[in-house]
Amino acid sequence: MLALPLLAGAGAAAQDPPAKPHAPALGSEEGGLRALCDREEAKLLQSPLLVRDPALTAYVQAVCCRLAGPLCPEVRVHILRTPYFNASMAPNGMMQVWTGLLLRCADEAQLATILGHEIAHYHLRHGLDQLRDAKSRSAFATLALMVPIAGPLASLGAVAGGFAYSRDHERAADAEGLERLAEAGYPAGEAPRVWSNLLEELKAEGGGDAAKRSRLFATHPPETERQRALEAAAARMAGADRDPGRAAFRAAIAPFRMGWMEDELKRRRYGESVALLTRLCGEDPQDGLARYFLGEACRLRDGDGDAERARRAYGEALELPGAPPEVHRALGRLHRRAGRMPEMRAAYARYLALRPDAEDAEMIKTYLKETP
Amino acid sequence: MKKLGAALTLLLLAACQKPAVWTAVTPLESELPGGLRVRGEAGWNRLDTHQAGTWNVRWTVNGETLDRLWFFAGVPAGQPLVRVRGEVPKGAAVFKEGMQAEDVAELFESFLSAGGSTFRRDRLAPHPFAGGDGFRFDYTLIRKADDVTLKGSAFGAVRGGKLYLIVFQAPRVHYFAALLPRAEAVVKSARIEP
Repeated sequence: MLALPLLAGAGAAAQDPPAKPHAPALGSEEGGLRALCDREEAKLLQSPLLVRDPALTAYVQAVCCRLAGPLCPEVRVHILRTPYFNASMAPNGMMQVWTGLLLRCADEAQLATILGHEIAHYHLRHGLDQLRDAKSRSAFATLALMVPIAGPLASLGAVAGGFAYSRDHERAADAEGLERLAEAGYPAGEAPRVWSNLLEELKAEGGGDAAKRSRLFATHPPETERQRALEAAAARMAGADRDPGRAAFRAAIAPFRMGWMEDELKRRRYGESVALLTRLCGEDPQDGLARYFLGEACRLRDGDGDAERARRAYGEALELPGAPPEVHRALGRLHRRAGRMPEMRAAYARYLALRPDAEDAEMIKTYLKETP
Repeated sequence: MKKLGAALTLLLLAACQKPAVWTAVTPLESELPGGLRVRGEAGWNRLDTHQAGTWNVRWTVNGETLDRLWFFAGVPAGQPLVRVRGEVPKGAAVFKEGMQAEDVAELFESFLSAGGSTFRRDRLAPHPFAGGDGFRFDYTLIRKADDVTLKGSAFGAVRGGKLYLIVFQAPRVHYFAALLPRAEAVVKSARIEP
């Protein structure tokens, strides 16, 4: 039975974390840890993966500030273009948010769920606790000495998050994160959904224990337990009718979604991508962009019936707003395979009209000249 | 018993396996797998891995981190661009009969970015290859190991149901532009003798 000490209502012995010294002595453990993180942050600022978009960064920073309250000045948001679900906050205030997480959130409340959880780890100084644990210390030292921040993806999260937290830490961060979510005026009911969506996606790929394949699940409480605890806690909180901030969130990420969906397919976990894109299409049936990429994910998965699924998704995307010109190219490709030359020519001509400077325009022009 | 014999034979073979060595490419025509023949001027070095039955050959001028000319000479249908220890790597995309230029470019991209490097295709166009029609695609790659930005140009065609691809790749800074003409000369000399 999971106890949520910070949410158990009146009489709960919520343990206050010690007041945060603003400049720990460099010789202290905390000082050393912060110096190490500062060095990693300097490297991060040079990374080609850093999304250098002031508007998007400011938007995520503002969500963090809403959640962090008085800690707001200590949080520095860095968005990294990498197609995995992850966010982490280092003990020096460096918050990394990966674009794979932004792609997967339906609204601001879901993003705030993850950010609030990470801010809670920071506030409760779990990174320092972990450092005091001898096992993590050796792991961390190895990591700090050997791993460039934009190097192997796994280490990105590991350096920033310090390393995997213990389950107790995760439970405490879940609880405090949820409180922060509610205090910031978000509906708490979105929180459990974030985790269930991710688990569903991981299960879609099959093979092994899905929950073990994401760093965010590695030591987190078992999913069903976490789910139940979060749902129960959220149910006790007011504000189910609050605005989850869908419009603002969608507006902030709109200019980037196409690139992020392309990145998603490059992970080559097509089962997971089909699950994710199916969900995105369900969340917004008018989303032509997600529909086109669902077609692409099916085409690339190339399993039984996937060619037909792809064709259907492209066809549906054509009728929807937001479908990219590439949907015509995809249809042209299918028609050419099947020898339907007039249809092929019409589709490719449409693509070239919309994307006259396409990188593959020269190749496609040769297809237009082909005769059956 | 049979199995044991086979295992012993394998062990013996492994013990006899020569290490991979670089040798200078002579300015004469080189015979590559799959009946591909190319002519390279002096300065190229060829990597010999002593692996029979592979379609991969690598050449370089300055060393592979600085420039690489990569041959995928006659990849049969159902096979990946590169086999690992004679096996198809788990989950690797394979060449399929009937693949078009854009499919080959996609196959190469998935091969190159499998380790987490960032790949962007910059251009796909028709291009003559080995005396017939073929294609060319150019790309930019951020190499994951060191965050170095590389440029690449790939030239190829599907002939007799097999894929022929010659890829030149080098860092964007200096090496790519400096050596591309030499790589293009090798591509231009390519012919296929089944």
